[in-house]
Amino acid sequence: MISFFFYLFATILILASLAVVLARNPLYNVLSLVVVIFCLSSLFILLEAFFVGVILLLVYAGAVMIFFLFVVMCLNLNGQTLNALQQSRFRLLECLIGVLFLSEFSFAIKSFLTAPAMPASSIRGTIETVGKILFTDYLLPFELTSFLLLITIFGIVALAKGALSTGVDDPVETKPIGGSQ
Amino acid sequence: MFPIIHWNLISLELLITVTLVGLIVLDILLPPETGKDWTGLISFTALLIMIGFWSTQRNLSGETMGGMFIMDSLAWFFKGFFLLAMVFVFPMTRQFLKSLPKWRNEFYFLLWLALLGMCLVASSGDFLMLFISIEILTISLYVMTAYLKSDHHSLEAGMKYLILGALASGFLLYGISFLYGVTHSTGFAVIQGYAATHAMNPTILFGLVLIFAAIGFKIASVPFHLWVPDVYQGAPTPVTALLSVGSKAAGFVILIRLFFGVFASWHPQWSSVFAPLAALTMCYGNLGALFQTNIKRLFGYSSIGHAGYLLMGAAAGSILGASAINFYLLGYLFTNLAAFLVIVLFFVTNKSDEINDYAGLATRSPLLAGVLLLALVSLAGVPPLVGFFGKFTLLMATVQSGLLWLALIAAVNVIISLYYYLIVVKRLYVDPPRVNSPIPISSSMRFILWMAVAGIVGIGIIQGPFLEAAMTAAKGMCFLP
Repeated sequence: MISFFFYLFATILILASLAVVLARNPLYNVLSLVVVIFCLSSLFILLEAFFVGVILLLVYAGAVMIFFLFVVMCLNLNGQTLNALQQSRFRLLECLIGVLFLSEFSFAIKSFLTAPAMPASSIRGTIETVGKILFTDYLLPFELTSFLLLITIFGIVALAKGALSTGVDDPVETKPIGGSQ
Repeated sequence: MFPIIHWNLISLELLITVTLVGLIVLDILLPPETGKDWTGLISFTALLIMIGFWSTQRNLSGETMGGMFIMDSLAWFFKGFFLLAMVFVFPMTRQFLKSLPKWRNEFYFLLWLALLGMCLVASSGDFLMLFISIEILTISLYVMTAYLKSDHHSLEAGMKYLILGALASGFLLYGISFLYGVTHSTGFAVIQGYAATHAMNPTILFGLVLIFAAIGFKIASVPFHLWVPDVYQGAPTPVTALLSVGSKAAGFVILIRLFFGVFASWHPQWSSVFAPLAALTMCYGNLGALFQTNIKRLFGYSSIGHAGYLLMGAAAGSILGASAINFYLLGYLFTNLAAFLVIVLFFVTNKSDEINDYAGLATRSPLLAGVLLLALVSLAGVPPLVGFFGKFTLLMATVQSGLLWLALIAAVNVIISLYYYLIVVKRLYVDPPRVNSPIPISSSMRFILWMAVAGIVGIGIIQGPFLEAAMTAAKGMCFLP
């Protein structure tokens, strides 16, 4: 039964991931991403990592997705600007690097197939186990993440609050830095 | 089981944290208009005290927090390195921020956080810990790069750095997950044990390539160098100085710990990759620097070039190579920060970073011109300055490992670099000045400048103890012949 659900969610996951990359309309990209994250969290739950699955759903499908939607809304992308964005001078190079990456990746995956399976873990991914590990083995990295939050607070205060110079954000001439190479 | 915490091992980081929190509280308590830069003054004093404290930790070694945090000779060396870099960056910031009407103290807090991140990077004993330390360092650098909100260049630099940096972080995390998939652990000790008993396989190779991509981004090596010139030019100058010395050294301490320690058993495979990368990086940096008109951009390209020289030590793949990297970085610290001190002081009075505006600096301020001359000549590698001896040890390590062709390419690059460094020197000494007003320098800045000069000349002449410190640092964790 579990393997049936695994293959079901895995297939939807792959199809939705393709839609994220290939769909032309940005709104469809974002909505497919929601499907991707839903399937991903289902896979985690199948692995008995309940906490991770739920958090993934809450944080990504809940919060991060809303940001994406806001950005898509604010940018107001239409077909013309999208086409202009998709024009790339380095198409050939991009393809080459992509193929290289893919072949290396397939080799990597192949050696996973022959590798001995990881011993089945008796740990169930409930909040209790995650919390215990977080406050014992991973205490130091966990505490250090608080510094990341502190930095973001400073960043927001300094970058987003109030104008720095004379008060008005005067539109400066927009010449890119590397223009005079 | 709750892990046993050895407080003395993490005491330096705790001290930094306490100072940071104290400064934040002080910032709230002090009246907003005191007219004096208290945060800057206290920061500098605290830094000097910390260096004193650091020097007592010399023989401290061990690990704590269940192997998350390692203290050994390499970590000790680099923590001192980062503290020393900050000794120059804080006065630079004090000068630079005079023109900033608001949010000065927050800049100091971010500098402290960056210092904390760098010290933690040097002490990481687990990939998870390493990732979070790198993020602490990099995210504070993103904010500082975009700090001059009204300056279009600063914002553009911040944006570029953020996007490419996020990509590099993604690579690092992806690489770590591959290693975890194979070794079933993120701890350095376990992975090292796995490496000692297993041969390299494609999965691990894939993980290593991704991890190196993230390190390459930090040290500005080809092909992960694209952000360097723009970000160096656009960022506030103290941040550029920190990027070019602190952030680069943080990249190299990871490189040494991972490739000379954790993955030492796979050394034949990876050292063959480093040699062509080193050659490409130094050629790109030095050729790109030839036609620059902005001095910060010039130093951006020169920093790529120096990353190439430093990678030679990694390509050598021996203890001598690792020690040469350490020693070269120490010299690079004094030399590059001396140059950036001059750039900041020049910018404060002239509001320009264009090399043409440096014309005739020798008549306007003989001290500034002299320090810049010394720094440039040392970067180019002229004896008896520290840059020469650093290059010498790197070349020695390379030749000893049988990479004669790489040493030859490096020698050609040194000659190319002499050209563009000397063009700046010509501007300073031969060209007539455009403005004749002298440049005022406060006595405290004079002292800092002389300190940098003492480093450039002093380590160049008395290399023994410093080379020995670099050797000890490398030997502490290196598992190579």
